[in-house]
Amino acid sequence: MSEGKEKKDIRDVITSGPPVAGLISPSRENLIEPKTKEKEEKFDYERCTHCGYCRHVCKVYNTSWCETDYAGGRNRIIKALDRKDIKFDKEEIIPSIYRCMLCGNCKVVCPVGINTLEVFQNLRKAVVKKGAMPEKLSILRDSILCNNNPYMEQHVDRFNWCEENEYGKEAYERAKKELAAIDEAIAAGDLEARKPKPHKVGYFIGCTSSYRNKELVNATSDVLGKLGIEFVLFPEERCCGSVLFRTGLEDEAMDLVKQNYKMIRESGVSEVVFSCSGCFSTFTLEYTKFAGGKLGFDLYHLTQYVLKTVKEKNLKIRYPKRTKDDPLLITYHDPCHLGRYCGVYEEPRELINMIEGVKLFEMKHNRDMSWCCGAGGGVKALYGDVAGEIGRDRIAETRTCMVIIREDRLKEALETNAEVLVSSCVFCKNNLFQVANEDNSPIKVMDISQLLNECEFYK
Amino acid sequence: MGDTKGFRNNCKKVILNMNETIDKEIRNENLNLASKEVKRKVSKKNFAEAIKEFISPYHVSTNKYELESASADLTSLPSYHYKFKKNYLASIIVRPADTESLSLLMKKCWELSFPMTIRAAGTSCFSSATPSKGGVIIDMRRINKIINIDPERMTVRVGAGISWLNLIERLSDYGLAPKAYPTSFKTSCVGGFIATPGKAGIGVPKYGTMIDSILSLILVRPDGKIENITKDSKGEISLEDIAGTYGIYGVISEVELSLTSLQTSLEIVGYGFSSLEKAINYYKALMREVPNKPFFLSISERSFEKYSHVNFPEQDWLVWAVYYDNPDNASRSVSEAERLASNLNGVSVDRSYLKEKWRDISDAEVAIGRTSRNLIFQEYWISNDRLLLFYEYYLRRSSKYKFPIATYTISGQQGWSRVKVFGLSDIARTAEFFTVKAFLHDLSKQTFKQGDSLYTIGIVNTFYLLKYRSEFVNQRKELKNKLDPKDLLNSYRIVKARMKYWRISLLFTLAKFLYKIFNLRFK
Repeated sequence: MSEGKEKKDIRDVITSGPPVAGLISPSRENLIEPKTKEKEEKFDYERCTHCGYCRHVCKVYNTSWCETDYAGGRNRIIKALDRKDIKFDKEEIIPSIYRCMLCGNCKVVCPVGINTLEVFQNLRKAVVKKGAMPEKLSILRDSILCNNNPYMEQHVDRFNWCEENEYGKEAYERAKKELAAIDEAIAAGDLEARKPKPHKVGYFIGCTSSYRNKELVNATSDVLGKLGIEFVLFPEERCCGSVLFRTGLEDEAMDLVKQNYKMIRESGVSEVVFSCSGCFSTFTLEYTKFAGGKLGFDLYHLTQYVLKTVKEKNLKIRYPKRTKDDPLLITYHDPCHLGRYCGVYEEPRELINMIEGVKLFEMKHNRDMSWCCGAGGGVKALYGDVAGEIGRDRIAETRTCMVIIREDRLKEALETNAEVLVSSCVFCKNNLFQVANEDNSPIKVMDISQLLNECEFYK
Repeated sequence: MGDTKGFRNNCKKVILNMNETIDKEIRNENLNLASKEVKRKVSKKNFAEAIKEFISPYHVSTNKYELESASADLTSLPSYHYKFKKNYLASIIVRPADTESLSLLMKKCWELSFPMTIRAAGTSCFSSATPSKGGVIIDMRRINKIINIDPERMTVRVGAGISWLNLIERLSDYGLAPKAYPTSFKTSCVGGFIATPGKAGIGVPKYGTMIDSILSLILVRPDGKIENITKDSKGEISLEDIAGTYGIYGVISEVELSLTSLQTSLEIVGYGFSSLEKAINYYKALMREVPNKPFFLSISERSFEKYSHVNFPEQDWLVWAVYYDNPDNASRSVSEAERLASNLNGVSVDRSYLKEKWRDISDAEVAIGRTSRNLIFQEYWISNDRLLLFYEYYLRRSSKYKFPIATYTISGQQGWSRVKVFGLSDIARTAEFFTVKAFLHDLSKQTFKQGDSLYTIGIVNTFYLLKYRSEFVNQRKELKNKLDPKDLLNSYRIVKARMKYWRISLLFTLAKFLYKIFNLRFK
């Protein structure tokens, strides 16, 4: 490659359309609502015109080049099955259905407004009902149903991390006392009259932070504690059901939804904080739908809650290891579950920009056009550890896709010359951390809770 | 032991004899139907294994879902439409990674007389990239490398399977941009725009057509031979033969393009007109009289804006132009465009509306699909001198139907335009669907009668060429017979049609008749 002239930033060119159009999501403000909305969104595939614009943003397709791997191609399969042009084959269909990160970028760019996430989750549900399921999915399902987590860990070990975290331990004890009070109040027949009064803030941890990434739960507890927030944990917390919803096991997930929802309502908290974007999006979408649109408590991702608190308390944030003149260079990776699923793009950025001693640089693909890290949609859970199988089968091919996708994202982060890639999702952090580690990359990968935990909050 | 060894040797002999027999059968061109079946089965099996020697097994697929998906294109028609074509479904998909493996693959297909269909994004419609005889789909998307960017010479050499958007994004890092690209640039590929007409799109009014940007290309001929073709090539095949001939002479594997630099000013002007004549006069004047040619120029009917937008200009016709230039040139062009518009009583359109149209230029024509489940359309290639004649006919015909109809035009090479007409129906309503097709057929007939042509031909529109452009077809046929006598590569495009003109005409006449009867009855 000839490297001649100095590189120009595409955004310096004054144009709202081509050539930068591909980096910006299409404008929707003045477009009419699709006329064919008489059916539920899960039937949206019928409206697909197969224009293929979802193809460009599909990281899986751009790795596998397989026609069934992007939304338009998959919609064509659903239509063909509907019309009985093609027979259902439970072995052959699996890769077409499950090799999708459910990142939702196709939904963002779809000119006819198809809710691809709804369509594909529903497709997975239909396919599972017909008996087609990746082998590992049944193991995951059984673990969640037996142990309340997908990692085959004992449920009683969920809060082991509290032993080593002061704020966590206090929060757990407060919650235990509350549970006892709730039991007493229920026995007395008046839940409202219970003492002590319920706490305002609850922290829903999620399975991955509880069992695998304890550094996140520790960092989050410390940040909340340092901000003076007296929060409680939920000792009866179970898996939120995200993995089950995404992989077509919605019916199995509903029991978890009911139990977790009841648990939070009974606890009396009015604000629930999440450090896991997956849990946050599941509560925002599926739990809210279950509760008929009104949960009875507010949901906050950690970034939103810290921002809100800092503003309310009029606090400043400082990264003490660096100065304003020599800031830590950061790039922010939008998790699909926080961004495209819940529309939280600006709060994490606003928070990072508030930190003295830190400077934020955007990657080329950001916000609703951000690239997926490659771990979503159950792909990492289902195919992530098929090491050594590369070159043999389509499962291995799927894993290869995932590896390439995360490498691409890391490359884009490196192009910003940032020292640290920050995300706000445990799965993104893990996946990108893994590739950075394998590649001996100069860029450090961390969760935003870890960054905030290294900061000082002051008046 | 001895007996076992003898038995094994006998088996080997039998198998060798069988293979020899099969090979002989394969080579025999006068096979009967039964041996054809044998050939197909054996060849397919051997073929898949043989090509895995030079193409990764990941990229040789017989997954039936993938075959179904890759054998269709953007014009999502019901299965009975596809079955109209001979063997629309491929039996194998292969994704070569470079010119060499592409060449080996094509040599193997040639050897076994396997039909080949070239595909990349499949966005040009009209079955341009779908099989017509089954066989192999050669998916070009992996041949997508940027081989060289030369900022000094302002050129780029790329694999033909690269998407325009990937190329645009990469070139922008160097302050460079392609001169001409299609409005479907978000997904379509470089090779496809050359093989399909490539005569109208973004940048074309200013910089010329796709062929004007090509410095050289590598073509893999149907027999697998690799050939480098430049503007000055004096060989059997010229650049002109390749552009717009739907890959019937070979597969474009690599392309060297001349580029332009990214500009610093972008201005959009747009005016609404109540009179079609004035709108067309303005459209023509923008190409003819404004000192700097627009980067993009379009004229659209009010219904086209209405079917996709909440708020839209009130006038019947919208003419809008994009000037992408240095600030001086852009502002000079805008002043001149404004002056011309005021002479023709054009009503200025809100800039924010135009900005949004430009931002969503790729999505605009698809966005009208929000009103229906399918986009049914035809593309006409009309001389600007006859644009008014065509549109008058269009207005007369469209007034006879109740289903929503919309049209817009984009400027192509000097003096020509691509007119796209949509009939927004639902393929589930078969009678209406065929009437829409009949309406578009009437416009096609008018197009040829007034001396113009269709823009995209593909498989679906080839019978029009045979009917109205026999001289052109015969010229093309001569070269095709020379390079691909067995018609293995991208069959039934340009020189040979699957459908008969009279049959289609009869079908559409019937459709119109039924539509009329039912409409009267419903009234």
